[in-house]
Amino acid sequence: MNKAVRKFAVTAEFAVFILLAVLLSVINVVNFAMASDDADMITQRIAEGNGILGRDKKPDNKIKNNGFDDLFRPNGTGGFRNMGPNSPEMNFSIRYFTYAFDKDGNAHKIIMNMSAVDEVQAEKWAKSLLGSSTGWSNVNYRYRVFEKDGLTYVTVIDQGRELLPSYRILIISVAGGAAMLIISMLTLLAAGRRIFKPLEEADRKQKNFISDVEKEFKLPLTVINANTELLEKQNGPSENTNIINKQVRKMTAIVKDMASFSVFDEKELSISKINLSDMMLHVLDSRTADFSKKNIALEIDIAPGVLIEGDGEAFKKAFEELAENTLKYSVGKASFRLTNNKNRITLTQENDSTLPSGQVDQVFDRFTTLKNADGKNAVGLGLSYVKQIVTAHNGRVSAKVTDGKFILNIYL
Amino acid sequence: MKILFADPDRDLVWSFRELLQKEGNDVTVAYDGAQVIRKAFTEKYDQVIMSSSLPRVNGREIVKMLNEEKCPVIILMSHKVNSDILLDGVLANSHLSFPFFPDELINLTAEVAQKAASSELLSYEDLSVDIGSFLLCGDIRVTNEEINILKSLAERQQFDQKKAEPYIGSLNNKLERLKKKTRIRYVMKEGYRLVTDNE
Repeated sequence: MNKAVRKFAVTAEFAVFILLAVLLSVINVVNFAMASDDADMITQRIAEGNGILGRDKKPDNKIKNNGFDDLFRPNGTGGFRNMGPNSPEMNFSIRYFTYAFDKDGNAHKIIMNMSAVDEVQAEKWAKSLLGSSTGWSNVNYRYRVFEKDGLTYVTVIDQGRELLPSYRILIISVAGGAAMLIISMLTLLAAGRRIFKPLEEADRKQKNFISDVEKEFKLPLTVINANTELLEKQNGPSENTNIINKQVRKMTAIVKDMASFSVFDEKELSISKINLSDMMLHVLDSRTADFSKKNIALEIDIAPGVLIEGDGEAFKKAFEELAENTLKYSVGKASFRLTNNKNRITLTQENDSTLPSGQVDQVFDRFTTLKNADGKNAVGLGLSYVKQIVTAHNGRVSAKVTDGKFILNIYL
Repeated sequence: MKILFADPDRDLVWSFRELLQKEGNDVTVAYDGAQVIRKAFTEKYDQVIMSSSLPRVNGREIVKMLNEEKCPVIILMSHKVNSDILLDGVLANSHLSFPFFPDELINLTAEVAQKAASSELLSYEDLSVDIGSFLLCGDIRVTNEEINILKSLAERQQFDQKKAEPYIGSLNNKLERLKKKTRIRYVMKEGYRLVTDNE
């Protein structure tokens, strides 16, 4: 059951991871895109001012109510209007330089309003940007190249201070995301344990019930059998003893079934290398007579030499149950196919069926029987045993009905 | 035939005493292990039928003692077939699992008695089975069912392969321990066969 808890936690954790990754990437991508946009608006204003910020016409200082949009693109003065690239204060807060180049490549300083570089470095930097249009340079610097009056202008602005909050948000997102993943994993494991506890309990109770019934019923059944026999010996067989006999026989068969299935316990697996192909062929071969007695045409397609690490006895019994089940429910035709495709072992059992199409995984549940072909009393433990063995070996089972065909798959 | 029947359940004991007596046997009963030991010491029985879980004395010890007395034992199993009572050295002559039908026990009793009285010596290649003493190659004890399988195999008679299945492994183990060259192998389209490896 711990396996189920882990599986649940990992699956849910994966969902949480996807959710967090999408959310945090959207926040950061949009944040950085808007920062680029803001920087471009400033270089645009520098371009309009022929290389110098504030030489363009004064920004519109009239208060406009743009509603929600103001938050993202503040315009003018006051409140949010002081915050964005259109703020009238922008002229006093931007570190930038602009150089203009004539056709011969001679540089002319337009403005130098930055202390991180000296004029020689700035000129070199500006020159290296010729030929492109706009973008980020040296991480924090946004540049724009524009033509005006036959000159090529290069302006570079320092956006370090403006980008700092964005970088902080990025770091917080990564660290916070990781912390949230760890917390959610722990929560999911704890929740999983709580969720699966009743299921585990139910499963254990059902197992206990089976072995209790088996233990508590087998002695009384034997005594009833003996006394019915004694009654018959004393008074001769009668309708009453016949009925008792018939019913007790039915119960005895069920209890014997339970006895043979209640002994399996995952902890007792004795692992060795086993040859599934030989084992399957052996099991089918030993039932050939039974299949032909019921006029079932067997189609056998077993890949040779399929090896697996597992409990030989448990697998043999599982195969026997599978054969038994096929024998019970098949009409006309049945097939067994074992394939090994790049270590993906699949055992497929098919037979004609009158059941409606759909997934019928409930055949693997204990005490579940679908319509029985020969109307015999079935307890519904055989395939549940098959499932137990397969899952104990980290395999998977599935069953479905399509176009009047029952298809059972075992993946190992 | 003198039979000692032992089980802690009084109803079961009563019923089977009646049944076995109706078959013409002289039946003594016991309800726990101590009684079995006391009775088996004071009187000689042709057969002991006892539950695998008798109170007071470990069933294994009782079977060991009865083996020494050469008294055939049938165990009524309330647990798995492989319980330690059947382990080698200490081996009941046969066993029956609950729930069973009266006929099964009566037939088994007759079968075991017949084998115990037999002086037949079964032999095949390097194998020999002394049926009367339930001994394989004079060394390892075998059960009634195992003798039946070996006999059918040696004489190439049909037998219920599915019923034999649980015994094949233990028989092969015994043959291996005896270092015999003969083994029971499954041959496709034929079923189980005795196969002797003579290099």
